[in-house]
Amino acid sequence: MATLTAPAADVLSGQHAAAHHEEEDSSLWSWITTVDHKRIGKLYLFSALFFFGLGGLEALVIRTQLAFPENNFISAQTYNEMFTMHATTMIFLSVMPMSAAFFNYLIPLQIGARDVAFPRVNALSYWVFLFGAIFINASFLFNAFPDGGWFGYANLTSAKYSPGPSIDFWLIGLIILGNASMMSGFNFITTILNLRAPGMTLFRMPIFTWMSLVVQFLVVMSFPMITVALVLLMMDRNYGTNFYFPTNGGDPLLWQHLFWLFGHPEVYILILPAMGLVSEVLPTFARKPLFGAPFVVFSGIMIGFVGFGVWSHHMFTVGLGPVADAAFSTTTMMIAVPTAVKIFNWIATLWGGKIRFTAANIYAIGFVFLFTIGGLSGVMHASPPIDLQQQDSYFIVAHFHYVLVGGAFMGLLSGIYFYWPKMYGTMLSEGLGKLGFWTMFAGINITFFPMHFLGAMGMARRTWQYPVGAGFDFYNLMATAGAYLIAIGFAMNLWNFVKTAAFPASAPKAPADPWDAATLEWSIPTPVPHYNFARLPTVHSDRPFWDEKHEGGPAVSQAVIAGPGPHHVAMPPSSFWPILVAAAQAGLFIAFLAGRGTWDGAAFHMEALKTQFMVQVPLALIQLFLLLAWIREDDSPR
Amino acid sequence: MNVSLPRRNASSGSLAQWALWPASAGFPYTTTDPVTDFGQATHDLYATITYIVLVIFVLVSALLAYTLVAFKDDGKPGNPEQIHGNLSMEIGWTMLPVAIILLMIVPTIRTVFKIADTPPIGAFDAEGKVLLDASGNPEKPTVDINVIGKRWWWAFEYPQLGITTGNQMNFPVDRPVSLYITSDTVIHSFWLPRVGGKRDAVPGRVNRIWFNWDNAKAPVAVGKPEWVRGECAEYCGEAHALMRFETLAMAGADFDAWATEMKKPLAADGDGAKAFAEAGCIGCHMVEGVEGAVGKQGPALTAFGDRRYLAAGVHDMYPGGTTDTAKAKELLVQWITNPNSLKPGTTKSANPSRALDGMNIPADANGNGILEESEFPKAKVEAIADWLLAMKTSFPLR
Repeated sequence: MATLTAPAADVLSGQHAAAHHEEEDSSLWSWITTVDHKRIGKLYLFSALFFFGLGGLEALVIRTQLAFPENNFISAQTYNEMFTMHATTMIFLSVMPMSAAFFNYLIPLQIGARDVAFPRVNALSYWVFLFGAIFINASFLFNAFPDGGWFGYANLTSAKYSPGPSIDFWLIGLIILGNASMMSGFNFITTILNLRAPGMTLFRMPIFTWMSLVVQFLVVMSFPMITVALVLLMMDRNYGTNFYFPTNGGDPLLWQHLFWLFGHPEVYILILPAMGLVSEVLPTFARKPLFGAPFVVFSGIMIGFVGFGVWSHHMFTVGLGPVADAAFSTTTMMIAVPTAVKIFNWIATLWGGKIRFTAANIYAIGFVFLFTIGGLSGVMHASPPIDLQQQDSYFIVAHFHYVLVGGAFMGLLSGIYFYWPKMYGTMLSEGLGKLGFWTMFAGINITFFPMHFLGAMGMARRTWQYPVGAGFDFYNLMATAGAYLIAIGFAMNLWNFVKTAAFPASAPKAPADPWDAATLEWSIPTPVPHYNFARLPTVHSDRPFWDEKHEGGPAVSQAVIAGPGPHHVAMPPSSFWPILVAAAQAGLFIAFLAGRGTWDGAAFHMEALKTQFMVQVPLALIQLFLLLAWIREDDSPR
Repeated sequence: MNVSLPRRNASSGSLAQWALWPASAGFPYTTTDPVTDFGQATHDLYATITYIVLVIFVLVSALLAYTLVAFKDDGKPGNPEQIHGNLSMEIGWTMLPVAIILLMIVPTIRTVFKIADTPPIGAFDAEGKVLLDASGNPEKPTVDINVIGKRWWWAFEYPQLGITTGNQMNFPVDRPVSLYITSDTVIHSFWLPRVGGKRDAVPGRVNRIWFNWDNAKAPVAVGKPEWVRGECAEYCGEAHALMRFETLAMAGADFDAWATEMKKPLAADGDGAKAFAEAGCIGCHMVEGVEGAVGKQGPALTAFGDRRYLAAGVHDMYPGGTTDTAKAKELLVQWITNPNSLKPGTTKSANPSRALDGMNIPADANGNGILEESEFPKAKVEAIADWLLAMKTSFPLR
């Protein structure tokens, strides 16, 4: 692939490489047509930060409404829309794509590859995700903001009880987003299994890549289930089938089983990438290897595996009987074992180290502490009798916000502070990062800790108002104040990122290896060349770069590998087909919704079906044409 | 709304109450102050597991904090010892959580099966033997109540007694009570936190809870009942937050007397009854002894004068336990003529002749959400309100 002509020294010092290489094209067109995993990672990152802001605004609206009892800041209908879209946005449009940003950016760098296995499918995944995210939020413009909860329980989502198009926007949006996730899932599995550098056995892979691999398997096994569930729901709503709705002989619990069969692995899809990032950050700043790395890996695999066998703990109150309750209670508690193993290993990694409290590291330590709280409260409602009191109360809200905000989001922020210098070639402000951490840390505890009490006091979830005299007033006001504090902390971080990305000249230049880290991604120059690795290193341990620097191990860094460097590395050319195909797919679904407007959902309407058929067949043909045209494109590396 | 909810003093602190101290202060929906055997069984387990979890939290946090302080970078050159792991430590901290989980799972499974037991056929003694009368029948038979979740209110049917009530469930404290919970709309969740855990009301399925009141913990005597408040815990659409209900724990003699009275015609004849029929209210609301009032779309209104709250536990009609009906009447007139203003999203129709299906009533003046003076004179509405408030048993116990 590579033509090896120029001498090594020419390519390898950072500035030299940039000068040597063709000038980086920063036009809008180059971003739209990019197939470079690093650029796609950055697109995911800023999309995810944008949607985190949006989901955060929705959270602030919710918290403002709940600041006082019997408040009328927003209507009940608006409130229901806000909590539905807050959850949908945070899960599918924020935490998942923020993890995807790291999958994209890091996996090829960590395993010593020049790109992912299918760079163009990777671009397609991003554009499908983006159009799906826009699609689901565009419902706002049609006064059809989804209001069925992110869990969309049947039969509330039936055409009878949710007659408008809002549920259709939601379910179609999720089908599109799942499509994007599954495509990238297969892409990363292939990448990790096939594109590792010579010598990188599975157990020499960095922990983040390991956790990512587990996550991709969870994605490709769980998203088909939600997609099936959503298609059945669409059929029930629009074509009069009887899967979920009891009036016609369906079973609303079928939805719950299918949804949580997806929904529980989804929880680990959200948390495992953050666990992976933390497992990179803590050892680096303790200047030690990750304690018990194989155990951290196996516990991650164990979490992913058992995660498929615990779904009914979301359904202890529906009455599955004592045998099912006892069984699912046991499997759920078992998840605490690998989780505890991880936490002990992280603490053991710090033990005996020389801990540097950088911004990245304090986010990672914050993750360990806050995730422990969320994990322990999770063990409590793994016990069905306790769950009968806690289910659908604010105790649950407290639990999963500790896990997802204190856990997943703090872990991802740690990853941003850690990898930013590599991604953007500049250093973020450490001071602003630490201030942001302490603001968010205080905010998270002030917001979510009192929610344990609210749940124990009997405050039900998803309630627009609560009565005077129930004792909920003080803790709700406290939680609202905390929510604004989280918003301020997030704004500090966002400002740090946007400012540094937009005005790179104002920030200090980042060296190639600012943290004295251990893995391959730090061994290449910053800014990272288009082709990542001029020469593929041969890996001899799980910390190849550390061993080179500190243990006299064999060289892996580009600066030291002997031999001639490439004059030119052939890479796949950019392409505008991914965005076109993604747009055509979104168009197909828009046409479905537009056709839907002509029927009431109660019965089978031949006329409406004809309308849909007339619109969708040509659109499907257009998409087929685009795919064929894409296949014929010359995509040989150049 | 100036709602004052009934309060009790918190009972002396168990471990879980100590841990969840802010919740133990005797608030109406608290989960830490159980008043039945069912609630107590759950609560004992809750206490055990809360204790275990708190101990783990303190130990792990202390370990983390110590590590951070002790191994802060001292700035001296050189790397710390590069330890990759330790097999016996790994085995240790794998087995430790397994042991802790065994501590929790054994009492959990025991309690799961205990609360899933079939209810006894009647009141029982300390050994669990059902008390029988001379002819071998239970002395005090278990009271069955069918609980049906609606949008957004609760129907309570007493099949053995032939009584139906709406949004207020009376039950005796001297015999077991067995609830059969279902829904004929969407999924709801029936939650009486002080009685015990919740069960979902799923259309097409019946879930059961049964319990025995703990009279030692919450003494109830003749003429001195106890209010226990409940709420819907599963998101069920627009007015989910406003789907609460009241239950009244009554002494056995009181309950029997109440049940007998509920079967008698309580409703007076007169202008109110006529207007009630004329407006079409009878199409949706059942009232015992009123001809034609057999509808099931809305809550049964028999002995409406007994009820303390309006619109499914949302509005207190007798603030502070007053007996004055002025506030009650004002609220009721507003509820009849403009229901959306008191409960956004309600399926209650202001003008049944225009919207018998009771779905999706807009709140605007032009929709069917408001009963105009021109359609139905205010005087007749007031007559209905007076008539409803006067219709009561001897147990309007506030």
